[in-house]
Amino acid sequence: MNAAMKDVPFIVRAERQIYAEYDRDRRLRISRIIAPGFVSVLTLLIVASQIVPQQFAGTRSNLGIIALCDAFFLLGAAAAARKHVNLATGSILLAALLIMALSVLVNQPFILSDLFTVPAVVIIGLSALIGRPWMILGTTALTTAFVLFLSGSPSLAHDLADRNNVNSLGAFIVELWLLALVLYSAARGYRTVLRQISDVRVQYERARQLDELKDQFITSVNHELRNPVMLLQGYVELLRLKGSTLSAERRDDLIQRASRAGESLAHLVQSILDTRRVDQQAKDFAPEAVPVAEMVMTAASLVDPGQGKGVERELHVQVPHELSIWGEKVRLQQILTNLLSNAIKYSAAGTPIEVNARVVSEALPRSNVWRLQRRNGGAPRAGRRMVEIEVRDHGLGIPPDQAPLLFQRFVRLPRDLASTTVGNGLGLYLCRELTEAMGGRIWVESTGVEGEGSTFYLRLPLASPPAGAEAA
Amino acid sequence: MTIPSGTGYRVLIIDDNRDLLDLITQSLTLLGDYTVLTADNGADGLSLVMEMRPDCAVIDVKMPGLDGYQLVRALRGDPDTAAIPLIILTALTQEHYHFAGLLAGADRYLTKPVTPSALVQAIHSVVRLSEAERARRLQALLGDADASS
Repeated sequence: MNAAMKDVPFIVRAERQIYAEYDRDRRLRISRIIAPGFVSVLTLLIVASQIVPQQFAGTRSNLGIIALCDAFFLLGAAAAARKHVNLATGSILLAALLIMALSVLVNQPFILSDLFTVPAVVIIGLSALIGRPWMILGTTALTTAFVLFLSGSPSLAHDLADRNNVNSLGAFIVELWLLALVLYSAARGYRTVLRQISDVRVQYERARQLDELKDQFITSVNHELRNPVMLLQGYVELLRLKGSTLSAERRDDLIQRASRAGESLAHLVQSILDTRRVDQQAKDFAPEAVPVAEMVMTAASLVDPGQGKGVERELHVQVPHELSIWGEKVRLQQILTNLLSNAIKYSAAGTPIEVNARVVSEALPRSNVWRLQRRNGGAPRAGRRMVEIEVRDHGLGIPPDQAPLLFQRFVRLPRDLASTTVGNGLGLYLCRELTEAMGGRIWVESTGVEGEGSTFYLRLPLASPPAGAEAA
Repeated sequence: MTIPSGTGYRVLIIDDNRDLLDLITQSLTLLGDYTVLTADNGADGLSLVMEMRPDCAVIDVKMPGLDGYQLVRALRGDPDTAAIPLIILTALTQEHYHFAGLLAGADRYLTKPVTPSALVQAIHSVVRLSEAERARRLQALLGDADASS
């Protein structure tokens, strides 16, 4: 896969899963036809042998095996109905093997008669149709073992004393294995073709989603840029047309409003440029010990008060004063500002925001939410001391199945796109990039229930072990 | 450029962005001598229209609760408010939004950014638009919609 595609949000399931599901559906569809059919036939046979025993003497004498076959087919039908594909196909193949054994028992000593050959070939064909490729080889091996077992039977000894019959036995086994290898190769080839088709589908879907997200982003940025531009343009025109007739105080007021509009515009453009700069400057990292409590309070002071819809919000901070992370001050401040800003934007006016921090060992948190791997390598070293910062709100929450998308570039939840809450889909992406650049991780946990809110977790390397600040 | 005077006209501005409400209020009072009423959401805007019967309403689209299109349709659907000139002022620039706004019943569809002088000109022109002319334009728009479908 193209490495540049890896950041594209992948709503459609992974390539292997698409292929596996398609194959599973195919096998289930066929199993749902075969198993109930055989159950019906064998059940009728068993019932008929009880009603008219004279006509079905052979059936009555082999009732045990027939009933066992019926039970396996029934198990297969039930498993297929409940979408347990491997149990369904395994039961059907076992039942087919029993039928083959039955045909041999019925037709002894004609071991190589068509009544044995045909079931053997049918079973191998069936395993190719509904089973995994290894099942083809498995059923062939079982069939071969069964034939060789029977060849040792004393009742067949006089048949096998005939050289022609021995040669026929060998030729039969060779032909059986040739058939199995042909079918096995075909099955593997079929799966390879399916995988290639699904690769193309996945790449197309990723490209389409990226295109869609870029459109969303452009629409979102376009919408947000227009308001501050109109403000700036409007106040400048008022000053131009009416400035000379206004009082100095009124003029100053208009100039200040124009200036604020300009700052808002600059901030928006900056956040867009920041995403590119973070990518490029990821390697320019000069870490130092950064006090967490101080950064939290600074970030809180930088959050735009307007996002609180004019209502004061309580910020509950529980961060040990001596706790520091090993990272960059500006980056941590930017992350916390983004998280606090989001907490305010996406929660009801008046609900509190909580920020907590503690020291943890680097054990992966138990969570059903997707976790991101760090940019600078694979899993973190076991036992490393980290600072875990939580930012919790009591707002709308995030649907768990959509949470993985949030940290991707340009992505906003469908719910938020339809609302009036402003956003450009870059804030959390920036948080992720900055966090990973400092050797940390960021993730979110939420039930998706409105009012229960979300908790964003930020883990960064500990600068130095604080006294008395360790978590239990 | 001559900016027409709006002496005596009352204009209602409905937008959830308070900064824009301030700008438009100052623009209309400074440039057009209009009397300005404001509302920061669709529901309050609807109540104000019913109560004050302004000479014109300038309506944003994306607002909490009742959005701009719904508000325009509500006003056009009520005989008491159907004749009030309505301007949609929005950041939605795509053509289908433009069409939807006019089809809902708006007299003008303006996309931000709009300068204060342009806004005053637009308000002045729709206030003078006769009801018969409005009906003729809507009929022409519906005819275009049928032809394109």
